[in-house]
Amino acid sequence: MTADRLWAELTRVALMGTARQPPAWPALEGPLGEVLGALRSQPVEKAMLSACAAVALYRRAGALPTVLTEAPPVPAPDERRPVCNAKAAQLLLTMLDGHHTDVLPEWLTRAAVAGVRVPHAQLPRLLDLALSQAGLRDVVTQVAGARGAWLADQNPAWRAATLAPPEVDWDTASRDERMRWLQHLRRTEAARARALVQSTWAQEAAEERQAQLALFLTGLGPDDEPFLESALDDRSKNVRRIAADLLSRLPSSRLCQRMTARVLALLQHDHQRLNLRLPTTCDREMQRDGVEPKARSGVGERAGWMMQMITAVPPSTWSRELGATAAELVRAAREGEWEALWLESWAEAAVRHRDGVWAEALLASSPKQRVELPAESLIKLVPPDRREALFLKWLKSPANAPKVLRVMLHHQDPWSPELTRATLESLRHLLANADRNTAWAIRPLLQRFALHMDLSALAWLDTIRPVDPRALAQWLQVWGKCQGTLYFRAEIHRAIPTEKP
Amino acid sequence: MWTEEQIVPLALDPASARAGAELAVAARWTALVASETAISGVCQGGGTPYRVAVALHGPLILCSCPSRKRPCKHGLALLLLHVRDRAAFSDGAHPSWALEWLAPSTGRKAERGDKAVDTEAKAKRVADREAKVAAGVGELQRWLADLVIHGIADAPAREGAFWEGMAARLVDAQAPGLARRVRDLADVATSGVGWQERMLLRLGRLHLLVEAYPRQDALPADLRAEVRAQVGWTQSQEELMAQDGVRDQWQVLGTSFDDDGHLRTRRQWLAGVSSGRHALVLTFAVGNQPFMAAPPVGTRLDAELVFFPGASPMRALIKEILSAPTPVTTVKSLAGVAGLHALRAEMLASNPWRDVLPATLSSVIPVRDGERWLLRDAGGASLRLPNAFTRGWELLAISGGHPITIFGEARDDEILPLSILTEGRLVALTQELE
Repeated sequence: MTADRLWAELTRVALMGTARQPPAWPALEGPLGEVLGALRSQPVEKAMLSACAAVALYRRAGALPTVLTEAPPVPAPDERRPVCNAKAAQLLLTMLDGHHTDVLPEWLTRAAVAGVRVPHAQLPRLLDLALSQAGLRDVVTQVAGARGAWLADQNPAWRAATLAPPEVDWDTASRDERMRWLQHLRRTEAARARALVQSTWAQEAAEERQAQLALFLTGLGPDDEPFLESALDDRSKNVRRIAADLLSRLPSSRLCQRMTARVLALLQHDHQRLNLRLPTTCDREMQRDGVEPKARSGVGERAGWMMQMITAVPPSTWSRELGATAAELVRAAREGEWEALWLESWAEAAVRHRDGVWAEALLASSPKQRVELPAESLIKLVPPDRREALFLKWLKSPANAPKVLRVMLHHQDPWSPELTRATLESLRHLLANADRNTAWAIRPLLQRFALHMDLSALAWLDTIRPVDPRALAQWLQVWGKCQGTLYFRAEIHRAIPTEKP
Repeated sequence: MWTEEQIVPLALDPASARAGAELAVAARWTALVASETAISGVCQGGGTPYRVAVALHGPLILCSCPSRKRPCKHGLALLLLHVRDRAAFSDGAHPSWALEWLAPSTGRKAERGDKAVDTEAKAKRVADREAKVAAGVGELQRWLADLVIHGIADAPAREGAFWEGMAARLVDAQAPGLARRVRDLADVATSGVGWQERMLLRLGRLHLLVEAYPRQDALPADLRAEVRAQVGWTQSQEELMAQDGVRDQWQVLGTSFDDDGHLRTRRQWLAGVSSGRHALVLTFAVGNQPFMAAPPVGTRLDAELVFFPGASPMRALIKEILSAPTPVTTVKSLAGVAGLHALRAEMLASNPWRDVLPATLSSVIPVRDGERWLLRDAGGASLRLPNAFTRGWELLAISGGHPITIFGEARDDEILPLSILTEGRLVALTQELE
């Protein structure tokens, strides 16, 4: 009998009790046998406990390690980026611990630019973060280094969030798996994603077709056009609507060409004046291209059709067709009969076709104009340095300030010292004349600006504070936070130096 | 001057530290006097007031209470109060009784104020306790036998009072070590799948202890000391500190923390570079008190350590640190997982109650096994990490699938990692929770 069998036997007896089940252990060879043999003279319960002690010790002392037969995973490749310095690592840890978390993107971006990576020990928490904040994914992938990629490969959740989700069998995968995989493929291999969708398109329910097609916005390109064009004849109205929207973002699409032809036929341009006739009907072909026949509130039915058509026309078409710059055309529109119609449609078209020149032209006199444009969407299309020039111009007139400052929330590239100075100056002016409510409304702006302002702001921050004493009390708190953010950013800048582009 | 972090470790056991901390409020004291070299006061406990005096160099703690523990809670409390609330003490002359007590402390050592040490009374107190403990051990023997006669099958269904009653009687019998083991049985009974084997293992170990205790005089001195310590006899730290220690280059390999809700315990593991010995330094802290500052993990110091008596003893006190800490760059490791098993066998041979072993393993790779983590050595032998260990991914990130060196506390077939050697530095994996 082995010690293991004997232990099992002892356990059985102990459970029952020696009164019901007296133990009867067989003779064993060796020292353990001798010890057990010597117990026979003892009262049975005592012998039982002694045997437990002896056998347990025997087994513990003689235990052998469990040996794994399968090979360990292939080790991580060598790092190509050097690790960030200790100070930078400590600042990252502070943020991962939940302090100054809104500065994290800046740390990551600087590390990516400086070509350094995070210390290995901090990778799990960083990858967890990428899991919850999709916007950080790309930069996290860069600074996580070779070890990060290797580590993410070991954890399905991280792999799905940071790198590639596991490849799925399209025909048997669950809805979620399919959508994740599709989302990933649209980023990396759009054509393959399209082929997968097409392979089961005819059998999918309308809801599925709609969801899958919506993912085409990522990686959208001319190659998608034939499939999208065919989707304009889909049974589902929602699918048709999405297809038309996607096609209206592809300048070379047949849909854009048809729309351009329709609009140009209605245009009468002479002597720098933009005149047009409105369409008289919304025919079947127009509806197929996504023009919604029902009027929306505030706009006439026919004007509404016209606007929907113009938004599908790439804005560059206008300069080409009419031989005038975007700025000239915007000016012409503002003097003509259809100001709102043109400006709103062009703004939407500029966003759809990501046209920075038109976005800038439309914004150029934005604060003053009567027509409300989607400034937040347009401003992102303008290159950062041109953006700054716009802001600086706008801020010169104090009346614009509240509106401009709100648009500036979307200027999330590093600010120049000039813009920083002008903004603080503008804030100072605002606060000097602000009542308590206005001061209250400005508070969150400063806090957000602190994330992007030039660090020279630290020297100027002191000069801005509200005059109203009740507003001042509230202000001090946000002011302190803002200062804290700037100091923390200054530490990051010192710890991770990058060469200014 | 003294700080709280230095005073708490003077307590012989966690209970004294706790009681001392509770008494360290000015409201419980009268006649508080502080001079440059000594403090004195009268503690208004329930009933008899006790006179307490402390000579600050040393410290020499003197008290008129009948407790056998020295320093007693009153002495600790007076020292703590002096640190916490200096303003409660008046400057000036100590009362005559205090001066009388303190006078010999400048020259010869004085145990208590009652003129000379009452050796006869002390011997009687020790004899009284010996009798009480022996009676407690006898009762526990009968209780264990009864358990085995009737079977342990219904142990999980037993009410708490069944275990707690026995534990309380052992506390009364002044055998706290045995009481702790009985309370542990109660936890094991309700620990779920596999409880039967765990229970039997502990019953065997406890039986071994209660069988050894009555025969302690027949045991070798080391084992006898071990048995007595396991039962709950404490060792005066003052006496220990007076002994010669082991001087070596001691590496601080790792620190673990325990918190039972009242008392927090810090376990610092050290290894002697030339002696090859491991040492365990325990520190206690009550409530929100911080632990006394200690040399950090990953440092090495020239120090003298005194070991508590016992069988292959590890528990030790740092008697004196003779150098500034320098970083640890290399550690001596076991020969794989098999080396750890061999060490355990060797340790159990000299001390069958040893359950935690300090273990340094090199060339191990963290691997994932379902929801669990394992360490795998070069030969494929593996060791599990406890379920409670939450930093498996961090280990894997540091290792990157390459062999690493880890120090930890090994219990049965598990190891709790406490530090890791990375980029030529030993880095702690644990930190004290705030």
